[in-house]
Amino acid sequence: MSLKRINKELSDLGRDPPSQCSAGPVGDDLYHWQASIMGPPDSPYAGGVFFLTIHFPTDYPFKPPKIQFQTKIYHPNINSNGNICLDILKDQWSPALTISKVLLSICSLLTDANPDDPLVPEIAHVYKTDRPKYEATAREWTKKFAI
Amino acid sequence: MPEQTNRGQLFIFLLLMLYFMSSAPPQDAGYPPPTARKRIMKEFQGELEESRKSLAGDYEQGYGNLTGFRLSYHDAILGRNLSDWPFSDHLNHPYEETEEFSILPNVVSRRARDVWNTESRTVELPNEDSDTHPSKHRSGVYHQNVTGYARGTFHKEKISLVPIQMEVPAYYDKLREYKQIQNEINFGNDLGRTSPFEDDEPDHSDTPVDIPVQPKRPGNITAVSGITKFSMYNTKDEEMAESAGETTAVDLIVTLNDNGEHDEQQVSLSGLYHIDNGNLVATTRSAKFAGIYALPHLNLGPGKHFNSTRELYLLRSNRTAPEDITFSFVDQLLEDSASCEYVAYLHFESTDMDLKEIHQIDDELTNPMGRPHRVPPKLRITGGVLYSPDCGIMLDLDPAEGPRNEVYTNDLRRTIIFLSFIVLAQIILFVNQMNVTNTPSTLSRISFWTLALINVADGSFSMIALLCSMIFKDLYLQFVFCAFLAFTCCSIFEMKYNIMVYSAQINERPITWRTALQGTPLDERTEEGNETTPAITAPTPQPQDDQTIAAQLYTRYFCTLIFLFFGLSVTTWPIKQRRVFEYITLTVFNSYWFPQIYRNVIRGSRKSFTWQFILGTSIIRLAPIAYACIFPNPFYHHPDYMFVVFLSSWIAIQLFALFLQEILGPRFFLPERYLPKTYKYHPLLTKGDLENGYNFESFVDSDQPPGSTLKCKLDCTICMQSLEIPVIDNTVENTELHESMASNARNLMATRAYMVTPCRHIFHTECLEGWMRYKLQCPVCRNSLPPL
Repeated sequence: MSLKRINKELSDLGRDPPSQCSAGPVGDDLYHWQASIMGPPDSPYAGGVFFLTIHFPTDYPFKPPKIQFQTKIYHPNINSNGNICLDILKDQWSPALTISKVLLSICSLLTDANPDDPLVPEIAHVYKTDRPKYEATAREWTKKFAI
Repeated sequence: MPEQTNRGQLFIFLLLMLYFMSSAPPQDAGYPPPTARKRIMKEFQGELEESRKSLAGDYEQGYGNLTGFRLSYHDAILGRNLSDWPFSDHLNHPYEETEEFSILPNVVSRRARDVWNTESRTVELPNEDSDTHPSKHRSGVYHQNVTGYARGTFHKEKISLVPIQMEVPAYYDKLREYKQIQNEINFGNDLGRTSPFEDDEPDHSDTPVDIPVQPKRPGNITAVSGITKFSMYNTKDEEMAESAGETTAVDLIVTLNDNGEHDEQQVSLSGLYHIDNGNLVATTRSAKFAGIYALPHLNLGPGKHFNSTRELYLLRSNRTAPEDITFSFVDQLLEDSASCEYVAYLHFESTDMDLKEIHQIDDELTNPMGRPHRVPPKLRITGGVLYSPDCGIMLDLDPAEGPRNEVYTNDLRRTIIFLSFIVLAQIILFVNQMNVTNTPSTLSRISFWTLALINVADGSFSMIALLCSMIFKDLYLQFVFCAFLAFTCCSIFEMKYNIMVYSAQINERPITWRTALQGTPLDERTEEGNETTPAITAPTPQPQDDQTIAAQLYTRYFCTLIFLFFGLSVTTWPIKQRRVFEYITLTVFNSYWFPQIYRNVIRGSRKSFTWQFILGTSIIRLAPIAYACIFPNPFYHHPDYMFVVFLSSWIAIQLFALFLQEILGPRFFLPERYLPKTYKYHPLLTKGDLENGYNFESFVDSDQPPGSTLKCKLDCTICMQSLEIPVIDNTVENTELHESMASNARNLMATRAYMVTPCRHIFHTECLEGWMRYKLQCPVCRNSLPPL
């Protein structure tokens, strides 16, 4: 069932791609995709392109896909390994969610971080105490790694 | 600073502790000063020499100057005073086994002779030769070794006997005074009256024995009938083997309980057992009654046994030099003098084996090497008499029976191994069960309290096994192994399962009973207007696992401890209360399926545990109880068929209820109106329903005429494939509302292919059922879903 569903999502993505994101399989393995997100224009990540890997589990859609940032990014909910702390990727996963919806959520996470449940406490601390510094660092990193 | 004051407090506390510990009574507290002790010891050694002289004397010389034996029974009747010893009419008369010379009243010695002559005429009336005739009843030899246990009953005849006055020798006075002073210091003056050292009783020759004497002395058995438990320890003296090897030393402990088990008395005697005729005689010993030195005479006549007894005891007593006797031994003799003294006569029935077979069996039992042999014969006491000279009590011991020591140990060992296998089986069942239910949805069907009840029962069992390992030292290894297995079972496997079930069910808490059964009622949602928050969502799992688990562990631990405390103290309760406690406890511990039945009703689920687990657990838990109540067992549990029947039917009822729940539905026994209806997942939708709010993509008209079943096409959001559902068109007025049989059947089958949630989202059956194994939440709107 997972293969059919992944195929369907692929064709839907082709037919109706969301803005700011794109995704597709790496090679022949449909369970391994690569995606890219453009930094949202109203965020310090604007102008950057961030690459992600997506691994689908065999019991997809009953289990969430594993998504990881490949590009380094300065964000309270994304750590240096690229792991994303997003509830819909863990216990709030639902089979009705699609990759395009997930990527859109990640985009909105970039715009509005969640410092109260951080994956990188130091960045969250900066985010909460010194917002301009956070934005400056984020911009710096975007320029360094994501352009 | 707080920390420093705490340290200071700790220091002071330590000082106080040291002071109290050092002011604890030293080793020889309660003993008089060394000079007094030396004098007492010297006197005691003198008495000991005298006693040994009496022991070495001939039959005609009688007891000699033996403490406690100076007054014969006849003298006591005449009311003679101890201080007048020796008496002129005894001086030149040779000793005879009549109450004139002996401390045994005639009725007692007659009874003792009857007991000893049960099978053969070995003890004749005085002036006859003691001759061993072959036993009449059986053709075999007597037991060569009587170490073991026996249980029987006793009864007291209505014979009044005069108590014989016995006095503690005068040289003990200093020690007694000292003890009395110590007692008064320790406990205050009100203990003076009940101090056990007042054993100078007034002469009771004029008061019948039936009237109880105040205060009651330890060892004074007032019950008219009751239960006896014998424990024999027989030793063979190697040095004796050549001369008179037919007599062996034996230590006998007799425990007497009245029928209601309100009063228990234990008497410790030592004496001898004659291998050639199965007879046993034993006495107690204390400061006022040097029973063991009179044992030769207590054989009820001169002859072979008198001689062999004398030799045995001379040999044993000469092993200890008088100088080597410790003061604590003397002190203990004084303590024992507070209780009644006893003389016991028993006869052990002969076996039907010959000497060779018996030796084979004995060798094999003491040194097990796997040699085949016949079943070891049980120890059978054909009868006995227990007589107390100074309390004037005679008890008739009825036939008793019991196993040899090694046989008993073997039985116990086999039982323990059997129990260990049961525990092992329980572990395997649990592992299999845990493997089957490892998703939150399946775990939520399991009842937490069922597991908890099983867990507590196993925990208690492991504690009891551990305790038994300390009591039965021979079987320490087996008991510890069993306890270890049971502990592993309950604290690793069962506890893990408990934690899994608990953490899976912790998310259910805020969901109300009603919602859990029906799902969120749609009306509530629409009433809230623009608030599109789902009425009740599954709350995020609280990160409380450590706390809750710790709380759980502590509760369980303390509950087990409290129960164990009661369980242990129950062994000292009288029979009736003990049985009641046992019945209640066993019934409660075997009601562990009821919480599961209740949970099935609440959640409307049919299956919970696998049937392998249910049946296996019930059987292996019932088996030991049934065994103990039906067959003779080493725990001496009384046969109780009624209880086994009751317990089996109790469990059978529970199993049957679970079975019916699976077949007929979890609420088959409740009338419909008491419970909210469970939700139907496969409804046949009408066109009116669809127009009311279901989202549908397109209408595909079927090839049938209008007014009948339509087909509606949607997308299942889980697999993203299309889904066709039949829809009844009820908007068009149709006289023929009932379709043909075929299309009805087709509709019914079609309804099984899809599921409709209370929040009106439609999915394929496999898709939604697959998702519901993980979470009971609508994929589209996260509404809670009623269980299947």
